Amino acid sequence: MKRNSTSQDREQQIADLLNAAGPRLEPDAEMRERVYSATLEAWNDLPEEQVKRSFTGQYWAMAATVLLVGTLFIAGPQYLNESEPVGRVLFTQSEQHLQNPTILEGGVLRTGPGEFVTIQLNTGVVLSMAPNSEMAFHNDSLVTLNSGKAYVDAEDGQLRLLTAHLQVVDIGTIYEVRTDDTETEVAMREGRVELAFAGNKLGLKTSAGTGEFIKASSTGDIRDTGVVETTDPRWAWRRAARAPVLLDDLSVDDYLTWMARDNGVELQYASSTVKQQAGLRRLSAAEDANADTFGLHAALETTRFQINEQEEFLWVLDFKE
Amino acid sequence: MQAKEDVNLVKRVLAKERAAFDEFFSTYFSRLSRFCRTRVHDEQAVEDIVQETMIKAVRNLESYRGEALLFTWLCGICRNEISNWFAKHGKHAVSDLSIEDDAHILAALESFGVQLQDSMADQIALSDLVTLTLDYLPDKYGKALEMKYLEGLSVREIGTKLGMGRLATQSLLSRARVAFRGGFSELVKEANQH
Repeated sequence: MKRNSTSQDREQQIADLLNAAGPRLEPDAEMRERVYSATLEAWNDLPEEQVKRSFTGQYWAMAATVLLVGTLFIAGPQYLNESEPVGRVLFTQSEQHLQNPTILEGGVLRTGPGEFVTIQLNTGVVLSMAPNSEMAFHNDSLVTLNSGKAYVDAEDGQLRLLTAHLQVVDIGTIYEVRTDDTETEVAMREGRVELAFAGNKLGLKTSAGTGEFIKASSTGDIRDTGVVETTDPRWAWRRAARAPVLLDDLSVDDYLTWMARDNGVELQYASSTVKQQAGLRRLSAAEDANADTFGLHAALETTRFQINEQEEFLWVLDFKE
Repeated sequence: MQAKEDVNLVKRVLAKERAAFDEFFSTYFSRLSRFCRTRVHDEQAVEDIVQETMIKAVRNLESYRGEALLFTWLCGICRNEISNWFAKHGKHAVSDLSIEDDAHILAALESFGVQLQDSMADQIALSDLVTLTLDYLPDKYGKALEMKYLEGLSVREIGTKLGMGRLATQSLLSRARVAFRGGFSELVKEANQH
């Protein structure tokens, strides 16, 4: 009780200070525009060789990161004692990694044949890696996919993902990135990402939205674009890397919202009463056992709700008849 | 960790990534303007000084090695520009700002383990210290604290605005509060020493 009170007092003290100071004032918009133009001009005038040196250095550093990795799975940089955790493993098939689930800044994670792993970064972003993939964690909002395939669910945060060929920046989206020596492919399941290409077209930008895929070569040339459905079989591998869902004390509404997002379908309610009741009904540990199989209908078996899969992309929640 | 993010941002600015330049400008322009305004009370002078600071920073970004936060590094350049401006115009830095004497605020300061010295009142106002502390914090920390304590937004509303989930937002607020307390205490101590 005393601890809560102290914590509240501390919060109130911060609130008092912030209110005493008032909001931070933004400079005048016209002034901002003038300073922006002048600074941009200075930036545009930067010599070209500075740009090349910096960019080359970045890729040498990236290559060095890969070469320095000596262990099979996660290699945190031992020389950086001050490395901070950037995330933790939610799911893995590796005993070795179960014992050390923390991912440190600068760490590199590899998956072997048949191995899947799912990580949650401090920002809330969830990343799944397919077998035979390798990813470097620079910090909790910047990673490099060196090889293989990754599935990104950025509902809870922002991530900048680099490959040798491009950079992907997103907010609140779901997408998959696959990369090898010659090309990178980005497939969008939900939302929109901004892509910046490396190689000789650095700076050229495009974006990809829900249901699109883009394939780019090492020189930044777009090799192919197309459409990919949110329920396409290509997303199925990610289920093998998914941590078991713990239903205990989760509302039916929260559970189905999560499941719908994970399956790439839209969730609707037969009526506002159904929605309200779904928010009130809590699932229990007993129902958890069924959830291990990710069986949607099994999880709802003891409730008064049922899902009608009316269309391929649509679930409608209703009361059982 | 923030310093490493700063190094990454600088690398991208130097790699001529326009989005990185825009991020650099939008992250630091307002902060530098506020930093400058705590010392110079002439709007035209503030604009000139901040513009010169930003241009010099861009031209010398290669020398930034991440030993300090990028904002600290920029403030160093800005301080020089402010000194140059005062020297050029034959003026002295003056402040007509004062420390608040609200009992709640004094209690808050005491709880932070800091004590204000009388001489500090001539240097900088409490409101400026709070603003500076927020500006020194990672962008999301400062924004989250303002949304929570000034705008009175709920965790869910803050999460929506920042594109984060509820748990991640709660965690962010918790880290922001700790960082604010630590940063504010340090700034007050530093101000007391000058």
